[in-house]
Amino acid sequence: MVYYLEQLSNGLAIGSIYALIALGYSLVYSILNLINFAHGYVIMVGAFVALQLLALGVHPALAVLLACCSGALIAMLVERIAYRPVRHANRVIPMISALGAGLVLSAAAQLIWGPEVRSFPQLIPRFPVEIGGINLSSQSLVILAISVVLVVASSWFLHRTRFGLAAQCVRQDMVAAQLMGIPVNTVIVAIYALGGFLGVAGSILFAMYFNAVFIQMGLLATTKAWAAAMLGGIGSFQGAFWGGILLGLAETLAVITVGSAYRDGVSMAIIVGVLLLRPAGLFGTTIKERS
Amino acid sequence: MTLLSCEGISKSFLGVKALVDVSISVVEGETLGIIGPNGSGKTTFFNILSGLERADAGRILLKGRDITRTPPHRISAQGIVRTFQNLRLFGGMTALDNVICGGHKEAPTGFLGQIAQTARVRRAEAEGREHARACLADVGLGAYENAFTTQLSYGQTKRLELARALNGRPRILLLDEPTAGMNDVQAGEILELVAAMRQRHALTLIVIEHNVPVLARFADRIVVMDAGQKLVEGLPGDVVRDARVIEAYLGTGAA
Repeated sequence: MVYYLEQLSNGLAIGSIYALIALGYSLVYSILNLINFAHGYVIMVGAFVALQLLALGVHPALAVLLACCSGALIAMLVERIAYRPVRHANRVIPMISALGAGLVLSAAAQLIWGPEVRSFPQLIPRFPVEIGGINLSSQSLVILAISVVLVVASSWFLHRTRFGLAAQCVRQDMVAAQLMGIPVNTVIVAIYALGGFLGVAGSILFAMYFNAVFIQMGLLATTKAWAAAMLGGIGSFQGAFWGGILLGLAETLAVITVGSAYRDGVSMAIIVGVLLLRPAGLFGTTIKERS
Repeated sequence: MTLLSCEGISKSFLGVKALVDVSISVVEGETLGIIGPNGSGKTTFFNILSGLERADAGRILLKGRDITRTPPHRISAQGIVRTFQNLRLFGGMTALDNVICGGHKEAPTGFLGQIAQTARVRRAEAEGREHARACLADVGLGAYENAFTTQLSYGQTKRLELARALNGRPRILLLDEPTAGMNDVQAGEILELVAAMRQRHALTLIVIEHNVPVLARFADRIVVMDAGQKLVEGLPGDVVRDARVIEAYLGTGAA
């Protein structure tokens, strides 16, 4: 029992990382109905940027912040180059263009940083913390805390500010929003930027947690976060968060019961299961969270 | 003095000529009515005015400044605000939030300002909220600020759309069939409300309307459109008696 509880904190930590990454998908989907397949690669590049900055001796906190900003910037570029020109085309086309952007990013990253798996510095010390007789990992607790703070902050930003209201207008009716004087392109770019920022925060925590940065992280993150976003109900902010947490818990459960080889299979099984049983996800199709 | 002038506007869609060399101008404080059969290009004209569609030829001047190629959100910020024939309110939001959105361009707040929630941003948002409340009250929906648009009656949603447009602090308000789907009594009420708003906010109005008798009482001048062209332009009394208008509306021989 104690063992399971100890594992619970790991599940929550990894789940909250997935949640951060999944938000990038859900935010974009909620506004454009577009599955942002490049997202995973954007945040993989962000993790490499963090690694590079750390190697150059930049202060860790600054390196992480700059890497997150680089994620926002790359996401904005992807939007400008790969999505905006085809925004109003048949929806298959932006999807293909997104995949293309992802391939370009991953090839570029491979050219710059090479195909090897690199280890990532442990910026958050790992030591056991005993709470009520249960040993928890300090790193998992800090990861969980950071993720929750970021999720709460972005939720506030999207639901309680003028920008959030404008984003909801754009999501519901782009044409009418324009006529309210809302600069639709700016709102969309900002949403991409926010997704990129949160995603890179997630990918850096991911890299730290698994002590690895590698090119295929892009695809892996895409799969995981997509599973999380779908599980929660794609397009829903809360859905992405709870979907991530549940996926993390499910994976951890799989690891401790049937072995770590099954970790990545869980997300695939969830994608299949959700599509079969509840295509709208746990949080349904409701896109209205503000009351 | 001429506030808005459209000169030689033409627009075609895949060869179908929606507008052919249409010139319309309005002077400050005037109410211009536009009538015409379905498909005569009235809504296309509004779409071009508000920047949603781009004219193939011609230009639009707002107080002498060329806005032909200005994007819609900037046109709206320069004071040309419109409503829609088939209301385009934001469904998942309360009445008040809808109205607040209408005043978006008044929000002087950048992205970072909102994250930081500086005192200036807070003050601006509070003022924006008050202005939106006042607009809701103006159209008689003061008691419904927390109602969702789906909970309002048709007539109320029409009023709500008007409030949302008013919160954009328009100089020129474009109304696309404000009385569509209403009987004469309701239509009279909504136009009375519009007239009151016209007075209070010193509006210049361009109104598309099918209900000719109602419009004739309300507009200073009427333009009749047919098949993408300006057919007749004149005082309401003259226009409704014009043989060409009767023909366009009712067919040959009706007069």
